Amino acid sequence: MTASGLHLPPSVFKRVCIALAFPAFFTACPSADSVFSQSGVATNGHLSGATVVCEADKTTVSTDANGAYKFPLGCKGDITVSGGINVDTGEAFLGELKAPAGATAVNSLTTMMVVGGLTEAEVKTTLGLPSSVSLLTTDPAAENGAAYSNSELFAKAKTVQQLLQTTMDTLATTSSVTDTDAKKAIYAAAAGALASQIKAAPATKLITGATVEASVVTESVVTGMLNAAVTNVKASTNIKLANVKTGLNTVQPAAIAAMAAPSMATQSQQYMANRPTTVAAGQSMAGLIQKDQTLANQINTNKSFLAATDATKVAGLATEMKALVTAANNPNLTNDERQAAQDTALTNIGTAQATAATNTGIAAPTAPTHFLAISKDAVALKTGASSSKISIADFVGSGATLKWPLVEGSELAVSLLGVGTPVVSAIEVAVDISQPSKSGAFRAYISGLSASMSTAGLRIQSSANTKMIAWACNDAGSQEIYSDLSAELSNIDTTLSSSANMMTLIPLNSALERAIVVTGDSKGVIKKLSGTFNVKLVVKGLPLRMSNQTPFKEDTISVPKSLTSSTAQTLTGPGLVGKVKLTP
Amino acid sequence: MRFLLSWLWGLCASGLAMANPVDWHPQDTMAPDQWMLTATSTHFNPGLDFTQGRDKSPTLRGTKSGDYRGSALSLSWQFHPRWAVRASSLGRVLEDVSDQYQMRTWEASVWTQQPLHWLGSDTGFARLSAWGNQADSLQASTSKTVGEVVLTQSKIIQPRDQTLALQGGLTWSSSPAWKYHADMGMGLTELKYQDFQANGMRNGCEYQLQIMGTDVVGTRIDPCAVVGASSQFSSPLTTYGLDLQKELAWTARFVSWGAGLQWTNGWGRWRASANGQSWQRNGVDDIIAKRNSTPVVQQLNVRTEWMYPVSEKIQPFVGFDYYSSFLLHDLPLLYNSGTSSNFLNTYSQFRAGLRFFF
Repeated sequence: MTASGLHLPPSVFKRVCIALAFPAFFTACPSADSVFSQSGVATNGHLSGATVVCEADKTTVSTDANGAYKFPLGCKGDITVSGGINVDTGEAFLGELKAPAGATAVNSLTTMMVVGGLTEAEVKTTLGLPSSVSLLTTDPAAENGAAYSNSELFAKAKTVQQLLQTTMDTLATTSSVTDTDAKKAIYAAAAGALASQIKAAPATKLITGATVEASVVTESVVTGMLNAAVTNVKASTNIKLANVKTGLNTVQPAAIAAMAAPSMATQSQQYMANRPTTVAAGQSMAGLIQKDQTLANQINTNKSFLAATDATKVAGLATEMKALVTAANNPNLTNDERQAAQDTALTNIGTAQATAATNTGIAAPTAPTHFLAISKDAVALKTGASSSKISIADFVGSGATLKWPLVEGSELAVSLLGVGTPVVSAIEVAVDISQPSKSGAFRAYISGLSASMSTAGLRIQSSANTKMIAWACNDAGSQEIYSDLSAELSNIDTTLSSSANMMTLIPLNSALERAIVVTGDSKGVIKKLSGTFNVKLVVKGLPLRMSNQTPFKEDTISVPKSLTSSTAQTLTGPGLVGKVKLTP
Repeated sequence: MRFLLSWLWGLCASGLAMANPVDWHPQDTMAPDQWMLTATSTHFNPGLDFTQGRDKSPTLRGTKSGDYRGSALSLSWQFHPRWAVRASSLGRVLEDVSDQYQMRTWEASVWTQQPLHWLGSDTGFARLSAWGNQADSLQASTSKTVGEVVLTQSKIIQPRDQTLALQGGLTWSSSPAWKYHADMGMGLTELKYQDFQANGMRNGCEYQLQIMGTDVVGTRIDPCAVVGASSQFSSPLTTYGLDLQKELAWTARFVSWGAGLQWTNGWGRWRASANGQSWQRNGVDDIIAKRNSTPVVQQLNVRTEWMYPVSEKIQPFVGFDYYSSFLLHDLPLLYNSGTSSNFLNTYSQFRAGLRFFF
């Protein structure tokens, strides 16, 4: 009998234990907690603050900052994990993970066992994992110091996870669905579809290759998975998928599979080709790849072609899309190389769209012609003659490095890329800064900034309606609310140039010095800050996109307005989540 | 005066007895089924600066001194030849230039006296008494720096204390004119409060402070001239080395001892008693010690009284009391880590009242 199979309440167990044992064994009598409890780890990147449900009795617990959870009285059924924050990316986890009864690891691999009926051996075979690895008890992201304990398992679990997540992102974006229940249902459909592909043709392995780095994701399996997932979603009676079905009404499963699968296979393959052995490298890759919405955007942009009944007619488009996604997700490219490759791919996509239009008789979609981007997805930090580039790829990946405190005279150089005639409105901005594993955090919300576009660029002005509130918390748990910092934003009138090769310089030092004054930082805490900070930025009112046309993911920041009630100022809009490393 | 003090200290050396917000003597025997109503008014020495606020703060020098005034009404009933009960109600005001306290006090007791010839005594007595103090709030404006906040005003909302005491003793008489008693006792004291609020200055702005769970929350009181000052802040109380629950809601055990005498002659009845208490408090005294202060754990008081019976049923009296530490046993709710040093002060008070028998 396993511990989790015992039905006696703890007190009864203790009494029996004491009654039967010799006095000398009393001290060895295990506590009820240790006998009955069942611990585990939820991983999609470790999930912090996720909800873990024991399906047998619906007991619910939460994960800690490292994804660990514990059912104090054990769990006799399947385990379901949802919600929480992916500590690798800093983003909310929108899917749903499952694991069979008795498992102490919950991740994408165990999910396929539950939703698709795969055995552990079948999963290991299709992934080319050694038989010695226990998928039910081994946390793929388990750490041994600064390194992963099993980097092969980590890379391959990430590969599967990426396929499921990209399917979810792509179908949700293409069907214009944002609600989390629908995304969770798509995720489950994707996991089921992948498992069914593997079950149906075990000889066709999902991952092949002599080494992890040389591994290849079998495109046909991904195509089959995507085809099955879309087919199943469209046929589903699950009410949570109703809007997804409506959104995919014109989409042919074979067409979307043919268009997206090559990109997805290549994208997920990056985890193995660049197998991260250290936690920092793994998180950097997750930041770059897992957050990327390039494919979802391209599929949505080219949605009209997905009505094609002959998928081969859009194959050329799929190839160019794959080139774009590869460029966006390749961790080995410099920012300039990435930008150049993306520009080329976008040009080729335009050509491929024309070809697809000819082949299918479907009019080519109009690319987003009116948007703003930060030129080359990067800004520069200038100090005198020296200049260092901070790219979005660095920010969302390994983290943007900033010398701290700022050198006197530091300026941020920004150049906007205005495509078409972007329509702008009053700007709302929110920022959320926190430090991993610490309670120190800062959030701010700004509203009432007016924006206008001209040939010179984007003009931002403050007005009498400009408001700023902020909330700060230090590591000791002390909190501050600043309910009116509008004076700090008075007299703002700046134009961010959108002319080619023109940069706008924003002085940073004065802002820093003012922050020190406002916070009464007499001890110089701000200037002594160091380490890695999670930074989330949400901007509403500007049609911002990545330079490869990909819109930013919706995100939400809530800035507490009171410490005595739960009132908060919430801003939901296009956001960017990344890291900033402050180094002395 | 010198003679009086010498006499009082001599009495102290001879033995001590137990105190209570309302004075009680085992010699206050009544006839069966008789009632006694006692009205008492008590005053401090008006020149007393009981919190030493004027001494501590140069800005307060020359300002108004402290004042204490109290009034009490007690009703006693000898419901059995050897048993009696008493219920009392008191109102007290304590104020100085920066602090003001208004308190209501209740007291109830039951006692018995039985013939007991032990150690030459006439009777033995046992008394169970309970009393408590409460106030709508205790407000203080003594400036105090706590961490980065300078407290300008503090208020304990609805503080109350409760004490239960049991004492036993013996009475003797050497003649019809001279009577004596000695007693020992023990008891428990518990403090409670509903809320704590304070105002304090921080970074140039005034804040209203509230305790919320284990945090202190400050809300800015507008207007404040400092641009961009935080409108609210909260900090764990531990940041300031505070544990309000223990400081303002402490519990204690105490033991007491005392002795008294009574002399009746043609000039009336003269009484004196001395009482001592020693406390063992949970929480607050450890906090005081950590701040390198000295907690008050003992108190001695001496009470004297002269009564002249104008008739068989009307007895006016006056009294003079001395306390080695400030009102501690009478008003536990005033004692916390912020005020404990005040209790190191000695003080004296004057009493006057009437007893009616019916």
